[in-house]
Amino acid sequence: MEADRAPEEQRSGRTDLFLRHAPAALRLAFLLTGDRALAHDLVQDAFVRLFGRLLHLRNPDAFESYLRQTVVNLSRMHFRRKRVERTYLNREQQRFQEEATSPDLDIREDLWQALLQLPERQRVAIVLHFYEDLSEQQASEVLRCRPGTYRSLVSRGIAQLRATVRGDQDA
Amino acid sequence: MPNQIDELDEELRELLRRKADAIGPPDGLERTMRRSTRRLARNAVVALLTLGLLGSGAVAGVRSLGGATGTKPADTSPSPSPMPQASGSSGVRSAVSTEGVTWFHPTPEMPLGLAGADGTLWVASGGNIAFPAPASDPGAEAGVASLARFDVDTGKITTVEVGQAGDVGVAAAFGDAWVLRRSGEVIRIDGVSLRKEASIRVPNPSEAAADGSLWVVSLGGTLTRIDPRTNAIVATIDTGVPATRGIENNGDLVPPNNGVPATGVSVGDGSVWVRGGGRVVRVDPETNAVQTTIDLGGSVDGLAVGPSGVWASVCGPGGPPCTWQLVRIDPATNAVASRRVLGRWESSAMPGVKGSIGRAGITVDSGSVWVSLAVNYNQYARGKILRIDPATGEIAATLVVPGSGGTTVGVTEQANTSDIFGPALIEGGAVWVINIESGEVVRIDLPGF
Repeated sequence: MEADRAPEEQRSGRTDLFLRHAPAALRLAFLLTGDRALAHDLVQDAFVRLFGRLLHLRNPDAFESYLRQTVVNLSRMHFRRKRVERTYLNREQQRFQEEATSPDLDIREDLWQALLQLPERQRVAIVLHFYEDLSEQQASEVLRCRPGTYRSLVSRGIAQLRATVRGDQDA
Repeated sequence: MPNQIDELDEELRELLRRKADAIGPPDGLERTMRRSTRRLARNAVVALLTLGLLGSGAVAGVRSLGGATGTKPADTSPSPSPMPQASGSSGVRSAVSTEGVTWFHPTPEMPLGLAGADGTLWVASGGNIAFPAPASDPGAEAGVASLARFDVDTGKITTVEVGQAGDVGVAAAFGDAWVLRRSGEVIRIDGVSLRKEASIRVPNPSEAAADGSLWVVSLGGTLTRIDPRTNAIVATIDTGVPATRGIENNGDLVPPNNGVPATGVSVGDGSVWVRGGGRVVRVDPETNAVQTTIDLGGSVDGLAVGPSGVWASVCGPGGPPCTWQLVRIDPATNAVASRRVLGRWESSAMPGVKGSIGRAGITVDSGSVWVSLAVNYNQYARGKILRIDPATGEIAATLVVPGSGGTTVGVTEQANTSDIFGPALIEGGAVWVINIESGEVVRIDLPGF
């Protein structure tokens, strides 16, 4: 138990968890937000929250899934806040565009931009399906929706991406 | 799920892999360690403070609806947890508790309204209102708003849908729940069967309270009187409080300040009391006429009427920035009888300022005035409950509402997330608080009810 261990040992344990899991969490956060700086912030926040709860995790071995859930939750909270507090929306959109990563000429930048323009829940569903390779049950639990809703989110997201990309090509 | 794997799917997988790989290594290890160390220390302090309150008798004991009394919380995870139930569902929700605080989760998404009566707690949730459906795909993302009924004794929770996702409130009256859809509807839900009994068109309903009638105040300041026997509108009264439409969001009206309705209503001392802008308006139910308007300055956030008078939380004189005051109005004279400073709302800008109080809700019972504060609203917010002695106006007890499982929802220098606490409510011998962003309902057992 973390509480029974010396502070240095606790710190070492947390450091190990960070070093082991932070890279994957950062990649997920970046795919969910498209914002490098925000992704770093979200990952830090996720670890701070989870470290505060280490004592109480039902299954400490499932740290990775807790971390994934926390990253998704924090990214959704971020976008929720931005939607509700409209005052900041325009500024954030501008920042979002400015801080997008530089184009990689070898890949479909138009597809990336189309992905970033998807409704946030669709984008999360797409990332969980195509990047995290989660099962329907796992992904719907992360999104806190029914499996049917998750399937619908992925389908609509793909349809939207297809329409956007093909529309661009047709233009 | 589409089974066919076409070219776009493969491109998408490759795109995500390469974008993810390009992000590079994480930074901030040291910063994360410092922050988590501070948080752990803060948790320990809060636990000690809470135990101190227990020792002093300020906290009555542990009440757990989902686990053994007095046990440590089993799980505070962001949850591999049961789905929010969509319609007509029921069950005992997962709950964790520690030192007199019980967290219920998950509730349906975005709990916004809280009401209670006769051992039943009602939570109205807006659904997925943060992600409105795009115009090209209406209804696709919106989801549903819902009403959850908590039996405070058994923990049984039953949930029904109450229309498309959007901003909602709820009132408990005449044995039923009255769901306020800001889009312009009051829905009466039978308290036993949870069937929809009536739909009443009321412009932008903000809050409701009841004596012999249901009184609904609109965001625009109009007071609507509904006869509960017929569900008919019997009077509409222009209270003269400033009209506030709220923010348009997905065709719905979201009140400003992240869900704090701009107007409110309470009944007591033979009158109906309406708040809006910086005013409290007293309405005579005998004549349906405005008796008097009391200008408190600033913005009135909370209003409650009890045996000790009319209590309002006011942030003023302008702002934010502004100073929160707890004001007592003497109903005998309609004059301000006392004012007590609660703290400062330093700024509405993001990031917020440490210690800044973003909202102050009030509820009153026979022996106390309870103030629910959201501290440092624009960053992480701490829910803080003050128990005020109405005789002296002094703070009799303070409790910082921890986050799930004993972790404090603490103030940090980071500004990209928050936990927002809604107003508190007293029901079934406990203070209840909703956490809008985490979707939790928090029960705090305190004595003296």
